[in-house]
Amino acid sequence: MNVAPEEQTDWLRRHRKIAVLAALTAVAYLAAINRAQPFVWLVPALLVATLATGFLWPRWLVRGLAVSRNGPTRAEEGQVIEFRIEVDNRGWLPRFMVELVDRLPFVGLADPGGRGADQVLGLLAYLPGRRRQQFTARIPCEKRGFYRLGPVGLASSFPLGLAEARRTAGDSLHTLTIYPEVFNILALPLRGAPSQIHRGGYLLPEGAGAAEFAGLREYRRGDNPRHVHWPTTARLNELMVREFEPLASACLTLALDHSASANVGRGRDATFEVAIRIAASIARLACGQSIRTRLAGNGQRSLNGLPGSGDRHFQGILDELAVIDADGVTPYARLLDDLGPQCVRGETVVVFLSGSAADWDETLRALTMLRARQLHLFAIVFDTPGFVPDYAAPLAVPADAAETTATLLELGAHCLNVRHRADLVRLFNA
Amino acid sequence: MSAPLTYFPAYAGLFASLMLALACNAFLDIGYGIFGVEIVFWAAVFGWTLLVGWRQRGQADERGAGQQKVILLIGAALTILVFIPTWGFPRAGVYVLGILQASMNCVTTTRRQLHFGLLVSAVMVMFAAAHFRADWTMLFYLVPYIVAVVFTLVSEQISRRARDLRQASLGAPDPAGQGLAIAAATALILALAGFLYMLTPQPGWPHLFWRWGQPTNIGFTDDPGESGRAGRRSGGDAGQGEGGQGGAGGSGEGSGGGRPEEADAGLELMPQWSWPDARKMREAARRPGMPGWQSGLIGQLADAEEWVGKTCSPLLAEIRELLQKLGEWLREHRAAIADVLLALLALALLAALYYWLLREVRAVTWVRTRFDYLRLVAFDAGAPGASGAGQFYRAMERLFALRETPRRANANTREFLREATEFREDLHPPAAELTGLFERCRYGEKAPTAPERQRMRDLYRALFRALG
Repeated sequence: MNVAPEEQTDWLRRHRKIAVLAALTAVAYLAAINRAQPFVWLVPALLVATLATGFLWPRWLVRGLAVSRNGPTRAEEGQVIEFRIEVDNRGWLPRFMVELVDRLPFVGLADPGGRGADQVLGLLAYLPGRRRQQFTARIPCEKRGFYRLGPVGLASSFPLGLAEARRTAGDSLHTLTIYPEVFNILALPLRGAPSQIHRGGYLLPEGAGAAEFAGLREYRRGDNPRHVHWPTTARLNELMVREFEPLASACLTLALDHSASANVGRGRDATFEVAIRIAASIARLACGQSIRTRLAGNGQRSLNGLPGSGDRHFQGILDELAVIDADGVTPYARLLDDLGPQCVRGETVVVFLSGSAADWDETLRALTMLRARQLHLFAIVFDTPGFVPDYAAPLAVPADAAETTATLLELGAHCLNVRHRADLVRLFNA
Repeated sequence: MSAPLTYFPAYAGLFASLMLALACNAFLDIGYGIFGVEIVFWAAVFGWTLLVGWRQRGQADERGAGQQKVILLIGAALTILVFIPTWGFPRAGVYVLGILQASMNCVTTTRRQLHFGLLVSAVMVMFAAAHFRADWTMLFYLVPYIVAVVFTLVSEQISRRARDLRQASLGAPDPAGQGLAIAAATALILALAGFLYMLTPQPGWPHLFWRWGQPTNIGFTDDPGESGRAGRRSGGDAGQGEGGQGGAGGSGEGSGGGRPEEADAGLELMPQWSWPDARKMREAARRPGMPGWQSGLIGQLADAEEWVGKTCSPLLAEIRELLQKLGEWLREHRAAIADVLLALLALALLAALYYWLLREVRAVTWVRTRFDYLRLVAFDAGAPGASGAGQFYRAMERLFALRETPRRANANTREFLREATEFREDLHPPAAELTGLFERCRYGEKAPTAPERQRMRDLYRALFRALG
């Protein structure tokens, strides 16, 4: 079996101290044999004791310990969660300098290019026998996502750092869902869509005051049979249905651009992450006001849920937003094209525009088609060049936010420009 | 790049280690009366140079390099003018090493340099310990040196590791106990080193050559007297051999061989150190040039040695006598003891056979059910009270086990009842009643009454007739 040179180097690096000490021990023994003096043997005995202690003690220290980590399974981006860690020493002898290492993939992701890795939960300097110690770790949830945590590991290189022993506690696995950060939006410039209560998919008017009785008319195919007015039908011997006042009720579609090429920036400040936060905040407002809302997306995880409102529907949207990623390859224009026939007249489509100028023509065509279907557009336009990290190469053809906005305004869309690290609360509530 | 060294106790430990290492070497000249001068001189040198190193706070600067050069120049002059003329080589080499380490101390700002300094001190100590003048009185400097080195290494490593981890850790467990950890680690390493030292044979090349030596024609002939010669037997037979065999006995292979005068010859081959008696201690305390504190301490040690000998000798004699009597008794009753041990062994084997093997055999279970019936029903000889109820219940378990329904180890009584009578509905009433009586006796406050016991007996009889 071939061993990679990196592994060999790593092995040598980890065992360098032991090798040096073993060589010194051999030299000390040779020196002691060469001299007929008993005290010279003290030095090699000390070196062997050091080697044995440094190599064997850490292995014993991490045995007989049980670790449990308790904490929330759901959190919001930016929230500081608290894990409660308990270490139980089941042995009779004390343990010293035991490190608790945990795999927490969500820690360190906020930094550009940061990657979640093993994190040190704490160091137990001393744990007496048959005792347990508890402590808490407060950890900020830096980036939304669905994470598998653990297992918690025990490590020790006590006392001299010659060798490190590791052991994992198998029962400390659990998951954590970090939802995107939601900010407060007081109002949205939404326009109403005609009431849909006569369409087959709607069994009842949505909420009080969404529609009211306007008159009777003959039944037409597709009408909701629950709206048949039976007394009139009997009198006229013809199916008659109640007609309702087409009161305006807003419908909302949040169309996210999942394509990797449209995601500019890194970490929590990337355009896709900001779009997720905006979408979650709009969804909360809409669902709270009984506005039918749905998500649409073109990533590897398809977002084509049914519209709905209320807390449970919002929770479903949050669950989706927590785990999606900018991993799609489908152009945004294709998503908008597919979305058009599914939307009803007067529905508001929230679009997130962060792509490069190369895709803009196609996207603009799709937006024009949506407008032609009498859909309202609410465009979130990202100032894309501002999101490019300093250390990264600038975009080859950055989309000009001002030009994009001007074109969209001509289409009759409501536009909002989002700059890098903009105060979203102020932007949406200005 | 090695980690910077800013931990003051590490510098203090390095100072102590270097000083004690030099003290071990200076102690070799104890008879010449310059021990105190040497100690003061080296304390000043090491103290100053380590202070220079510590003041740089982990980042070497020009000040340290300048001091290093000055120390090197002074050291070169001292070597030529003092060290070589006074001691000559190789003793002068130790002092040159000390001066070089002193100059190195000026730029000691990393852990690697700390370890290097400790290594240099170890070399100096080995030189002193290997010198022909080194004897047990050097332990007054050697033992503290070993403690200082181990403590320095352990405390520096633990403190640095703890500081680094606390900076990186997400939680904050109770930090108490770090000092205890250092003390425990130091004590364990020292204890283990002491144990290894006592355990390790300490042969020199002469001994190795004598024991395993160059090939000769010894051993290749059929000379019958050869087996009693040197090296062919362990120390237990040394009395039959020549003088050198007494020394072989000192290796731990067996002592007591040879005459006392022969043992001295053996020490050259296998030098094993032994604790001196009070007389030798007092002689050592009277040596010229011995520091007063050390002389006084040795005198006190000699007094303590005598006191311990006087106090413990009756006890030791008593123990020796008891052991002797025990040995005589064992010799007298050797045959009887052997018989008893064999019987016990056979019993243990039978018990193991039953508990691990025969218990699962159907025939044994069948026999046990007959025995249960005779004991519990025919002769009504079960145990009184709640334990008697337990006997009835376990006898019922065996009846069901005989019919392929053994009780699972983790099944409680209700579960066992349900499983056992699932396909034997006719047996459910007596089994359920017996289970209920058993549980009442087991968990209740009162022992079973005579009618209850009689009822259990009837129920068991009914079950036995159906299953047995």
